Formats: sequence, C-alpha cells, structure tokens
Amino acid sequence: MKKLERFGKEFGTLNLVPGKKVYGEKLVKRNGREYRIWNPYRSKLGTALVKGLRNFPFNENSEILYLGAGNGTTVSHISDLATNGIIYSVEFSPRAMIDLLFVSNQRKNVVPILADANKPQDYLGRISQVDILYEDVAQKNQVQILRKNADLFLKEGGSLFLMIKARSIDVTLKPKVVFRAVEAQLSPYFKILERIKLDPYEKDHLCLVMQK
Amino acid sequence: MGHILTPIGIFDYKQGNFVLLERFPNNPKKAADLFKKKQEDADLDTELGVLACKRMKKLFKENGVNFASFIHDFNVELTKINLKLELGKPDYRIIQIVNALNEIESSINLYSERLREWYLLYYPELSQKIRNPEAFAKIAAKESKKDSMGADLNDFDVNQLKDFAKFVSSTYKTRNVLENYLGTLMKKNFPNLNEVAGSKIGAALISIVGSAERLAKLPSSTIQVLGAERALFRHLTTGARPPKYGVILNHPLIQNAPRKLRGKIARALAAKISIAIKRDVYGGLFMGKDLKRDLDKKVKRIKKK
Ligand SMILES: C[S@@+](CC[C@H](N)C(=O)[O-])C[C@H]1O[C@@H](n2cnc3c(N)ncnc32)[C@H](O)[C@@H]1O
Repeated sequence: MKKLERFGKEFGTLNLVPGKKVYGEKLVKRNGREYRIWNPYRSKLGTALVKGLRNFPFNENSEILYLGAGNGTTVSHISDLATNGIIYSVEFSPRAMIDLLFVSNQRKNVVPILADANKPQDYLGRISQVDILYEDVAQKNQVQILRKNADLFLKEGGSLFLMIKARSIDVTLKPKVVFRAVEAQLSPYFKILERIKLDPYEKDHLCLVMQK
Repeated sequence: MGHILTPIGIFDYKQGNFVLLERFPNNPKKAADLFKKKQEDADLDTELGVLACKRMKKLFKENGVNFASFIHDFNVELTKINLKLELGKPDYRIIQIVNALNEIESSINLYSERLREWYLLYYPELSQKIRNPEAFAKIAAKESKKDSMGADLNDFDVNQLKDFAKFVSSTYKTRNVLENYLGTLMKKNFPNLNEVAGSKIGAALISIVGSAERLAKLPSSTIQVLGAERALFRHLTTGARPPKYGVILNHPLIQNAPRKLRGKIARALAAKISIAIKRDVYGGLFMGKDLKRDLDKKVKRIKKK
C-alpha cells in the first residue's frame, strides 16, 4: 500500500491518524484508506512535488531534522510517510510550538524541539544523526544555519532540502540573482541535485535539493 | 575533556568508549528536568556531542531504553519545560497588550461615531454639548433627557440606546486599564527603555521586532526606522528617500521639535533607546534617568544650532 499517492494534479499522504486533519486539509478515501491532500499553497514540499520534484528520499524509515517546522503543516505530511522514522522538528516561535506540540501528541514520530536553529548546541546530545536535513526558516543567514546543522547532524551522503525565499535574503536583488548567490555559497560543500521554482504557488521561492 | 549530556544520562568519554557517570530516571519528565538543570552548568564538548548523536541509538539500546518512544517523550517534556519558561517572558504579554490596544483604538472610534449618530435621534443637544467622545459615552449612558428637539422614544427604545452607550463607555475604561497595565509591565521589566522612550513607544518597538532581546541586538539606525518598514522597502527597491523615523515619531521630543530638526533628534533618541534596552536585557543598574537627562541636553543643543 502506497503512502504517497497522486490525486489529479496534487498529492496525498496516507493519514497516520485517520479522521484527523492537521491544518484544514481535505481528507479523501482511496481503496478504503484515508489520504490527506497535500496542499501546494500551504506546504513548499507539496509545491515541489506538484512541480515535478524527482529526488524524494522520504520513506518509512527516514530520520529527518526539520528546521523551521512552523505549525507542522509540512511536518505532518512527512510524518505520514516516515511512519517508522523520526522528524526532529525545530522551531523557535513559542506560538508555533504550541500547535506543534498538539501535532506531536498524536504523531509519535514528530519530535518537537523549541530552539533556535542558529544554536544547534541546544539540541546536540538529544537527537540522533539524520538521513535528511530540511530547512525552511526564511532567514537571511539560512545558508549558515544549514551548514552548521549539516556538519553536526547529517550523515555522509544524506539529502538536504533548502527552501529559499528570495525576499528574506535581499529585497533589492532580482530573485534569480539571489538564488545564484545562494547556490554559489552552497556548492563547495554539497552536491546540488535539483532546483525547483515554486511559483506560482509561492512567489520568488526556490527549492534546492542537495547531497552531503 | 567535557562530559556528554544525553536523555538517558551523563557520559564520560574514555578511550573511544562512552562510560555512564549518571543514569537519569526512565520517567521522561524527570529525565527532562535533570537534563535541563545539567545543561545550564555542564561543560559540554561539541565534538563529543556529535559523537553522542551518532551513537545515540546504540547508547539507548545498551541501557535498555526504547529509542523511538523515549526520544519522543523526552523531547516533548523538555520542550514543554522550555515553552513554559518562554511563555512567561513579559515580552509576550506586552505584545498582546500592544495589539489589543491598537485593535481597541480602531474599533472604539467606530463605536463612538455610531453612538453619536444614534443618540442624535433622541437628544441631539447633549451630543452637541459634549464633544469629547469618552465623556460623551459616559454621560449618554446615564443622562435623562431634558427639553429637546429629539424624538420622544419610549423606555424600551431608550434603554437599548443607553446599553450601547454603556458598552462604549466600558470599552474606554478597558482601554485605560490596559494602558496602565502596559505602563506597569514596562516599568517593572524594561525600566530603562520605559524612561527613555515612554511605555507606549517602548512597547511598540518590542512588539514590532517580536522580543526585547531582538530589539537589544539591533543597531540604533534600525531602531530609528522601526515601524516604517514600508517606506524602508520603497527606499531599498526604488531609491526613494529613506525614512527618518518609525514609531519614535510619536515621542514628545520629536513631536515638539520643528520639522527640519526631527531627523537629527530621531537619531539621538534612537541611540539612547538602544543603550537603554541593552541595559534592560543584559542587566546592569538603572540608568534611565541619566540617559533621559543626556538626551534632553542633546536635544537642546540640536535646537540651539
Ligand atoms: C516559512 S515558516 C515554516 C513553514 C513550515 N516549514 C511548513 O512548511 O509547514 C518559517 C518558520 O521558521 C521559523 N524560524 C525562523 N528562524 C528560525 C530559527 N533560527 N530557528 C528556528 N525556527 C526558525 C519561524 O518561526 C517560522 O515558523
């Protein structure tokens, strides 16, 4: 039974907690099983899938470090997939963390961590190494954050997903220029596998997939 | 070499092996409590921490702990501890009150105008006599009509009108209570900022950036234009003139200055605000009065030139 299914243009994940929605998403039955429609307007990984993402390492056993987990929208879909895995979900906003704690109540593979991703020492020693590092923090120093965390927690050969919002890096530059600059900062350390533009769902956003 | 702190206990590292020094209880909440305490005073080594992350599952297994469930429950408990501390910071209460006051301010104007219009049907002379909206709402809630050109409404109709006046009047009261509360919170928690900027502007600055700590990290040139983000964006993207001030524009020192000096005074004020909030956040004696005196002197000099 597949955990990720196509529903027309969009995708859906097999609901780990049948009957429960996380963020108001649609629930759909297929072959007697309930799927949660992955809204490409609400989740950038959902957008990347709709826009043809080829590298998709998330499976049943994936262990993921997710930086900037927000209210758990994307985290919840990954949680449907990594049923035997773990999603360490780092978020520094206490408001978002309240929602995330409720999500982690029902989803035992979601491990909430209230911390600043700039200071990985705060969660060093209480998580394990991971296969995938995912970052969506919309911060100016997101490359620095990614590198620090990759150094400490990502296995050799592990995958990286970086969601880049051009405007949070530099409002005065064209998005294309920002994206090129970010890639130049990353390419000495990681192999760039794929780049996916997220518009029109998310304007001036790029999803960068890399490998350590 | 330092020790290694993990959810199951404290380890030493000797000749490539982790040696258990102190085992934490299997109860995740108790373990999280201990972890939190040790984290504050332990001398932690990053390299060993990375090593511990790599071996985390093995360490759990060797100590008879189910990894998947304990790593979850432990981190949930630790996050709850940290969340409780975080939510207790006065910043968050201040931000809620700033927003509540802004929202009350915009709705109270609408209510007041509505009350006046409604009241005109009944007793236009009172509406004419009392121009202050807060006083008007208070009196309209109680006053009985004297000789008037207004309609002779029956008791039922009049009571509905007075009920609405009471509601408007109590909204003013709530606003005043919240303003006092904001002043108290600011004075108690950010006395230096409060003295230099005043409670409303100080609180607005904290609210814009999200926390006092973040405000303390900003250069004073940024503090100067906080609240003018749109103008700043226009400046950066289209080359329009940069904004001279954000919310600090409402400060009496700027309000009472001639227009052409406002930019200079804004710079001086922002510089003092920056010192004040650093004091409040990083600790130190109260120096608000001195800062304010310096600032007043500086403004006088600017005005003399
Ligand atoms: C764009 S939102 C994330 C949305 C989420 N990834 C999703 O798709 O469901 C960015 C989040 O990153 C958080 N964030 C920003 N900087 C951070 C940091 N340094 N450490 C931890 N979280 C951070 C913000 O609080 C915000 O919730």
